[in-house]
Amino acid sequence: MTLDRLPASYRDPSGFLFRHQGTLYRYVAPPYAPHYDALSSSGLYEELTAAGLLIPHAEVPSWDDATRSAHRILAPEPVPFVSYPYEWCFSELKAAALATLEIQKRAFARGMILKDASAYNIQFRRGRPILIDTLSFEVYREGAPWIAYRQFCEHFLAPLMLMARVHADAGRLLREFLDGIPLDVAARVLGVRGLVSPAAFIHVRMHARSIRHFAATDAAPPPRLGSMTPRALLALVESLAAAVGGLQWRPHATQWADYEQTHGYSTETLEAKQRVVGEWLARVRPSTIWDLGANTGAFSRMAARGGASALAFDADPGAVELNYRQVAAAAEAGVLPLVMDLANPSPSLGWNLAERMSLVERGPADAVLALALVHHLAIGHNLPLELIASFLARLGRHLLIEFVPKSDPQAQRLLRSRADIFGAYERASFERAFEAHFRVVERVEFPGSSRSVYSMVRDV
Amino acid sequence: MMEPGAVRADGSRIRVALAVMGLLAVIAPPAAHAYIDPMSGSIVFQVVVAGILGALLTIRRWWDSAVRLVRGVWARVAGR
Repeated sequence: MTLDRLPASYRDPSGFLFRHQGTLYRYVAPPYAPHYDALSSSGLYEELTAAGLLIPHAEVPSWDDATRSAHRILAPEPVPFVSYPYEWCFSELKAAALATLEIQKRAFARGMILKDASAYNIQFRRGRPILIDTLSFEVYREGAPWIAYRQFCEHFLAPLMLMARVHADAGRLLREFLDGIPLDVAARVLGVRGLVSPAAFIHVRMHARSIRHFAATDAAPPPRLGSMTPRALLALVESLAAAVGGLQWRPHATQWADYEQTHGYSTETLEAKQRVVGEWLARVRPSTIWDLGANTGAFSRMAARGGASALAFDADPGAVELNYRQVAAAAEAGVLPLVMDLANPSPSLGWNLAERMSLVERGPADAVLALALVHHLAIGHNLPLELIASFLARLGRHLLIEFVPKSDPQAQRLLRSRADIFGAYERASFERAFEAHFRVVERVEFPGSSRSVYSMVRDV
Repeated sequence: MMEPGAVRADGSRIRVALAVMGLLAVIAPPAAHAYIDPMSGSIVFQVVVAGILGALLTIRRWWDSAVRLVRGVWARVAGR
């Protein structure tokens, strides 16, 4: 019998993930045994899981010939939602980078080392970054360099530098460069900014140059050159930690103001809207909710307080950044802010288009919240209401959606500089489009506002 | 434990790094046994940079303990 391997789990010969009767397991291959055993016997597993830096697992008995061939079968604690680095804001990627280096330092203190530093090995669980690849550790051999140095620079340091120094949207490059942003590309984009900062100059620019130089030679390698002292290795890791720690990005002051007011209506209307959302949450009681166009996550937070696990999606990296800062500052467990452009959501990516899942593949959620969103898609992206309805129907069973008519000041802003080609954008066609997929449970109007909120459910 | 930001390179250190890099350019890279490709250029570079950073760290620690020693002696002398 062969095991049902996860499509993304093919790189590392130490083992792989597979599914059996709906549960996720990790196969530990026999050649990796000394390293796996050292993880436990060194006390590192205990330390990292206690610190919330490594996903806990249970060792389970094998059940057939295929599983008996393993050194161990592990049942890792499941991660509620798998997110990808190209969906993270600056501070999420930075937190993931610092967690990776912290793990490396703690491993090193116990005679082990990270053999990879992939950003995809980090996930956000209860608002905090955690390493999910239990097989990332190796027994440290004195003199060995840090094999994962280049990977760390490409997955973490270079994208963070681009986000902090060039543009916050540069994180999206990770969607194209699935193995991390090549250092020569990063060096080119950084330009003179890569000369000013010592960390950028050394770890990106010179590093890229060295890679390029040696890629062009094919002489046989002398065996001893790759040797370095433990102190040198530690200094390298400290230098990377200082470089990452020193990177800052702040959304513009104007954006702050925008986020503060978030909407286009009065306090009374806002309170009425909060009441509607509160009542809907109490009735639907979702365990997972996707808040689309979440801004800084006010409504995601309401859902999380009710016990739901909320994903707060927004296309604006500034809004996601501010949202994540709240999550980190208050150690919130129930909200995960992610950068997502709904007009171009995360697709299936990688080898055989199966390595990284599309947004839709990672659903559906119990409930979807789409407040102040439809006019952005319909007017901002020329999307017909029928297409918006059929897309949202794929994301979740319950839907709370706001219709913003063309007369609304926010909709008018979108029409300010363009011809009004949206004759079909009106309430009746909105209702028709959504009723093709959903049953309307309730429609709420707000006094003093032309907007309305619909609670809907998909019956099939 | 070193405080963050302790290892920094200034212009002269960078020149040293460049010189060592130049020296290494004539030596071929080592083979690395890993499932990810660390790239030989990255390994060679890492060994050089980490060596320099490690040396700076050592010097800094000596310096710090020397400063502490002098301060301690001075405090005792001044306290008398």
